[in-house]
Amino acid sequence: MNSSDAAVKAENLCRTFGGRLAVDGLSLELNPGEVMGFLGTNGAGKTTTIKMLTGLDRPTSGTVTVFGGDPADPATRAKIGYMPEIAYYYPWLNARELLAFYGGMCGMDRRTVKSRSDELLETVGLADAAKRPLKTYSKGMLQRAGIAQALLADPPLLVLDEPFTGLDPLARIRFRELMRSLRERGKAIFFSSHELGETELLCDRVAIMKNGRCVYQGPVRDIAGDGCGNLERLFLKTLEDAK
Amino acid sequence: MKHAAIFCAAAVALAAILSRFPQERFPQAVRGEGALAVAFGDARAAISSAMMRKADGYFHGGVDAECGRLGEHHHHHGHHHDGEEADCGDGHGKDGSAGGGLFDPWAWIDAHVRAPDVHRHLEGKDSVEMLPWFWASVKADPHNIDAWTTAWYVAHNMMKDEDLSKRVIGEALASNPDSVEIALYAGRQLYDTANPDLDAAAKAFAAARDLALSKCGGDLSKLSEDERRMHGFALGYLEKIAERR
Amino acid sequence: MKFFLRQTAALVKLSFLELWRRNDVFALVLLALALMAPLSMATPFGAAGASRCLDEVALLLVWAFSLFVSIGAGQRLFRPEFESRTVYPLFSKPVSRTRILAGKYLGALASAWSALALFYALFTGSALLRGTGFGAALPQAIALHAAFVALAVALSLLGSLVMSASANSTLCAIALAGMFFFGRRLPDFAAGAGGIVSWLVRAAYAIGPHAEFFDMRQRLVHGWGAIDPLAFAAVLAYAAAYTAALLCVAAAVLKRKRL
Repeated sequence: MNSSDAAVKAENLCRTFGGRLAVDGLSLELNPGEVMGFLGTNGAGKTTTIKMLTGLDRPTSGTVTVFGGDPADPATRAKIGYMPEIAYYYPWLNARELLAFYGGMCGMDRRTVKSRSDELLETVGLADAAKRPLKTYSKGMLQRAGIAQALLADPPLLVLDEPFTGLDPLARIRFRELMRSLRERGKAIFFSSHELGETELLCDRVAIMKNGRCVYQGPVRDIAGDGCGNLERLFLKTLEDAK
Repeated sequence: MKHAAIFCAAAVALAAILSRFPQERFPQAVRGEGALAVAFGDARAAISSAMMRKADGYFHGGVDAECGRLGEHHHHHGHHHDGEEADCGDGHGKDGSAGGGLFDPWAWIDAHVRAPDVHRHLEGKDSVEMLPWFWASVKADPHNIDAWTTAWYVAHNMMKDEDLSKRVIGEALASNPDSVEIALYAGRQLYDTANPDLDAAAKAFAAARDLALSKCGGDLSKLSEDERRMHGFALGYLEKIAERR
Repeated sequence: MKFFLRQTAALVKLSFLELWRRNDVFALVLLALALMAPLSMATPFGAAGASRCLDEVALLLVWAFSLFVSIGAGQRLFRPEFESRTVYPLFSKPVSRTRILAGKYLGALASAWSALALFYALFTGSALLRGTGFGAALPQAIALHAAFVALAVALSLLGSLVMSASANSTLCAIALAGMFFFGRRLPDFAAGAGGIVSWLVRAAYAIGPHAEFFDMRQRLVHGWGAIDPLAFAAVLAYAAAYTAALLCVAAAVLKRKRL
């Protein structure tokens, strides 16, 4: 596969904040139809990396491209569906209005937004609550609304920051099924998570961060993933070795 | 906004409650005249003066004459006061230039937006527009004699409404039974009309004279300058009435 | 072009819905009615027919409330987005920061202008019921007031990028209300002060937002008539230039702002 077709390609990515190295020389590649889990302890640089992938921040050095383009370019960001960790969406809107807003921001016409909204609200289990104001939503419902807005424009790359936070078991199963179907449709999915079990079930590859450095990167199948917590053992061992 | 509204309501309630307490327990509640006295204290006099200035500004057609310099408005715009040429004595021009010749664009804009082209006084029935401000003035400070007497003048001489002026002076007397000036104006209310009731007017002027004398125990030098003048006016009116009889 | 219009429409609608669903405007209208109703029924010394004071109080309320709405509309544009983290999904969309700023500003402006239109509709309606007319001065006054609102929203928007909501509201209110009441007196104060104070006051006079330029209340209340077209155009030009300058600074700040 031509690397310019890579959904995400980061080369020697660095980000410093006032002398502190938040991301140190990160290189990774994600292709269409792949799911990558991005793991690490708190403060490891996961969210900073995601911000650079989505154009919300500029790297201090190194390069990051999304389908060959600079994420800082709005045209490139049209290919990204991003869900942040814990967003308290506009409380005076309902879910349908929220999707209409983000659909407008993606330049979608009303008819398309409506049909996509109907479909997504059903998929994430918010169809019955679609007309309630978001201020009445639970954390898990807000999370699901966030997933819906990330999927709205049907982008080829999904970047999800802690997507499992606040989801009940049924919602997690639904989410996993949704991610699998998207992968089968050729979407690239990049997500950070603390949920090692879910990550092991869903991902093709994982990258583990510690103190801004990527200390492990590889396919999940190499971990003999059988859902019995091997990723957990790998995670702990990797962090231990990286000391 | 909800908290601000609750705070304001609580403040008003507190003032209303405190105003019920006897004055000796709250000497700082000046004259013990209700919630306004408790809430504003001596600031009432300032508020009352401000309301009077507002009324004066209304008389001058909205021009703030308090600055004491109608010339300020003339100098911005070169407009006329009652048909007379403006006196731009302070060196400012209609074009907004400062005394030193520097053009101030902000002053130019201000002059053209906020100064009138013609300075017209309120006259006749239109003078009623001043009354709300006089009313606010005496509500803020019922002992503002100037406010009462000017309101009376507006009602009586400008609007030529005797019922109204009678109401004004009646309220003034009720609020200021010890005022020689108000007592004098009560006499004027009865005398300065097309068909004066000379007997009633004489009684009123005599009451004003007696009030002044009772205040000083017969020694006029103990009266203030204003009260002495009012006493003199009362005597003058009594002479005029005597001549007319 | 359609793409840009859809994005702008989405941002405008967002601000619009926020203002009208927060019920602030309705609360202000009720407050105005609560204040004006007893005033309009009052008969000072038993005399009826005084209407100028009602017009003056009503216009003061319109100005005070529109200032509240304008500052509120502007200050809710960015600070709450940062605090609630909705800035992340918003800025990750295929739209530049400058366009986001422009769209949000237009939305806040539209919502503030709609509130202003309501206030003036109520004012004009009540004046007409009392038989008071204003001639050509009223449309001019509304236009200048709308220009002031545009400036106030832009100032508050800039503040929302650099300080907290409460600091922003306070500073904007002090700056605008201060200039409204005392702006024309600043040269006198500067002349009387000395040293650095004088220079600071002169600087404030030169570059501060002259809210008093837009105030035609006395013209309406006392029937001074419309202002001349040149002055009218000058004030509008001042508002446009000042607003544009504020928005340019805001765009530069937003472009460099770390999320």
